[in-house]
Amino acid sequence: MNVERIRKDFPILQNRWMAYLDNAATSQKPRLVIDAINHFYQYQNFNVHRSVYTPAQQTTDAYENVRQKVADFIHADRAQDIIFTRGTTESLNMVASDFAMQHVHHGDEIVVSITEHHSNLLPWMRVAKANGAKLKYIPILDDGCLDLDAAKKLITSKTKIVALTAVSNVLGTINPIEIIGKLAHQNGAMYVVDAAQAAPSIPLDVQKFHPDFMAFSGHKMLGPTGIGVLYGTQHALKQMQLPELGGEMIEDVSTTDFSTKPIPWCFEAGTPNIAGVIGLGAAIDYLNQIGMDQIEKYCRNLAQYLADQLRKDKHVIVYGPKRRQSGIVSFNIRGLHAHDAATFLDLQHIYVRAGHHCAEPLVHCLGTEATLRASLYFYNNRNECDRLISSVKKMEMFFCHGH
Amino acid sequence: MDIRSLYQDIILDNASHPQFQKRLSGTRIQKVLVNNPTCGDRLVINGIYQHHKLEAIYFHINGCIISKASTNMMAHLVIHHSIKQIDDLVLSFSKLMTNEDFANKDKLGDALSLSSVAKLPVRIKCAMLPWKGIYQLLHREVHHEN
Ligand SMILES: Cc1ncc(COP(=O)(O)O)c(C=O)c1O
Repeated sequence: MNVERIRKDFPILQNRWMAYLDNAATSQKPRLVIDAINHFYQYQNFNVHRSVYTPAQQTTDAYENVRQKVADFIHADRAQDIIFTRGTTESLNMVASDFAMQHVHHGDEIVVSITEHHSNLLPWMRVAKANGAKLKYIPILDDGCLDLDAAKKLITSKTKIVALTAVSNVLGTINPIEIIGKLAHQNGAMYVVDAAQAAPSIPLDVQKFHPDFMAFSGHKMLGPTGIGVLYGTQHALKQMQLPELGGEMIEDVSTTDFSTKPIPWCFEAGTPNIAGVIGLGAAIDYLNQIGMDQIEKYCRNLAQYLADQLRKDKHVIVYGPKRRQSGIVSFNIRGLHAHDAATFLDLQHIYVRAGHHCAEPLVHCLGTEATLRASLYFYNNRNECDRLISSVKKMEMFFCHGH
Repeated sequence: MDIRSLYQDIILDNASHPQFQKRLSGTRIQKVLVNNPTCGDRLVINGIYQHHKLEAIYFHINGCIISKASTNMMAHLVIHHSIKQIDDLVLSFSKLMTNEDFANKDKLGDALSLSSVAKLPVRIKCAMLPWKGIYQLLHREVHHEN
């Protein structure tokens, strides 16, 4: 992997001032993706699944080809297991509102982990409250890894849903999705995986961990915003009610009744985000070209370098395990609020996130209100990490030892 | 922008040496909790408003330097003032944050040092937090009295 060559593919990275270290929020886009969207609007802009002329059919084919591409990317059995949505948040809400709301009853239990992003937490909280079910949390160990022993006790025959993030957006830990999947299924629960951080950063093979549903977002994996994926097995999708009715999703309509298209098209009412789908396809092409194994290894090693350097500084607290698992490194500088630190970095054009990262319960569980988070992707380099590390030192001088 | 124009000594001082830390006693204490959901900043303000002025104030804050400094400065400015005067201070401070002109700039005292925050839109809500808090505290009570 030649990072310097890769960086040339990203127009925004040509700004040499900037160290963009907030990839867990959203990734930058390679020219290939930007061009694909441009090309679509300039030459291919026809509606899908409804027009009878030739170019529209070509657009429909391009749209459906991406469905297959997404299926291949996660090793799904068939393209029909893929539903296009607006993103992870919409996908997870669909599962909660249109599946769990009907299937979780009074006295049932929903198990999540304390590491969940609000998008994989609040929808379940609502289902639990509405249906009189109990929401239970798998805790983490001191090093930030999921407490498997606790998980074994929490997941029981009462559990109807287990919803787990594959990669924590704060700690950068990769959760044991295979083991938890087995526990869920042994107990007859449905297994929902939030792959928002996993899809961009690790190879995902649904044949290995067998989620019933899985969600991810295009914009975190080089694709455009406003496009995402809900994966579901045919067995799971058959039990989901239709979130929306309208155009594109029907077979026949009379004045009194209608029949719907098969899965997955019945879940995509209305004109979809065609440009988004085309852009996502280009993003997957780009990722495949580099290879998800390579991406995973590179980000993990770079994060290890960053975390090791930060840990050498006794004023810095790094959260999560000593051995880094992905490109995400959350930390704090003792005695300094994360927002002041982030502003200091901002003025040096180093962009990190500060706050609770939409995972308030986890950040509180770490004993703080806010952390800094550097999230590295495969186009980041050591130079950018070094800039961050030296700015942290300068910052300590400035805020903590006078100036 | 230079980091020193944002984090001036006077701001660092106000943040690290908060006054008004003595809890109030009595029956006429008004309380308010305000927070910035995106930062996790949380501010509790207690006050006693009687005889047409804010006679006592106490605050407890968990937050960044900007919000801490702004809170201490706000407390200094509002104590012993009437609602009308405090409202005018709140309005003036919010104008400072949006770069609008207002009369008698000097009335904001130390808080004028926060003017650079106006250039950092993401931090304005940190500086505004205590001002929002004092406004809510007083107006909620006026509402009750009516
Ligand atoms: C783990 C996790 N889940 C869900 C989401 C929500 O993704 P989106 O905002 O694209 O819907 C995010 C993104 O911040 C995330 O990191």
